Amino acid sequence: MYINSTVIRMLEETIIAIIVIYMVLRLFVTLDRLERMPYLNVINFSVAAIITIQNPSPLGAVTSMIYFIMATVAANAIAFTIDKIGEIEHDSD
Amino acid sequence: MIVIDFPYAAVVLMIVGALGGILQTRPIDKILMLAVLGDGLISMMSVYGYLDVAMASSFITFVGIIILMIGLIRTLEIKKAKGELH
Amino acid sequence: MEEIIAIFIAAVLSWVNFVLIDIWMGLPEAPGVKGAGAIGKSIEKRGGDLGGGFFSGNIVCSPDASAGTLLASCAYYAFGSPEGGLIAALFVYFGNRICADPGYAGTSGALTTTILIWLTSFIGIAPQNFIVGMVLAALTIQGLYHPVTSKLIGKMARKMNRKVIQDN
Repeated sequence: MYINSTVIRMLEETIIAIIVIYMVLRLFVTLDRLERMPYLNVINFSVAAIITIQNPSPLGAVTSMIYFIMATVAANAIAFTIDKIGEIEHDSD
Repeated sequence: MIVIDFPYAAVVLMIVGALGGILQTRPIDKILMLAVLGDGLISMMSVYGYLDVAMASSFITFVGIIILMIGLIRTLEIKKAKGELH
Repeated sequence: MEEIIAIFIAAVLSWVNFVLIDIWMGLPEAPGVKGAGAIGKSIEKRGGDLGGGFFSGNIVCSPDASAGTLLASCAYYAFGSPEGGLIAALFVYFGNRICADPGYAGTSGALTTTILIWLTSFIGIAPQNFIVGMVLAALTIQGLYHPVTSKLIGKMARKMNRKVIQDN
């Protein structure tokens, strides 16, 4: 039973690692600034998932929750700033 | 079947974040790549079991990004009011 | 392998859960915070639907039912019992108030996910399948091709009689 649970965790870790590598390469190549935000959001989801999968204890779940909520607030700040910078530069023309 | 351990994906996150921070020209793009780098660091720390370090690092990284954003907006508004914008 | 079938079923169930609760709570109608409006207009400029754009923007900028689903399945797996879902609902409620979002989409998503995981545990689907399933569901909405998925979300929102802004 213990070997079976280790094999299952390897499958999920592989799926999440492939998703992360695909999303970060797509984020690096995109030119439009606001198109990068949903790709960053998928990376946040997958890192929050991998924290709990590797540490199946209550502290792992609490770390995952704190990471996800702080990352969401930061992504909100980044999107708001991209919009505000577009406004500032557009008004100065 | 092939197995990819997560530290490899975390290393890709960190390398792309660092390279993106060097190669991008505008400050707003650099800070987005800083967020990607922070994600890679926090995931690497938590895979190896250092959960309290990951919790403190996630607080400090993202509060730092928010404060950088406020500073960036303030700087550009002052530049525009002085008339030196581009 | 039957593990892949379990992950696929969990992905479909969590996709249906978070999309239905978010559309029912009115996410495609208006941007909750200002960053979501910017992302919505950017998706519309690239050929998508404005309602679907506001949906994606609200997922990025504020904890909603997708965050509730992911964190409830994480906590259920870590605590080993449905108490984890209630703790996740509490954390998502605090996160909503920190983002100045007065809605209840996150907590309702967490509570329905807890009930869903408890019900499917009798069939043989474990909570860790829901964690990976939720990441796959978020990938299909946010990461594949924004014009097509935003038009799908806009069509579903109009069919459920939400007042989504029509773009002509």
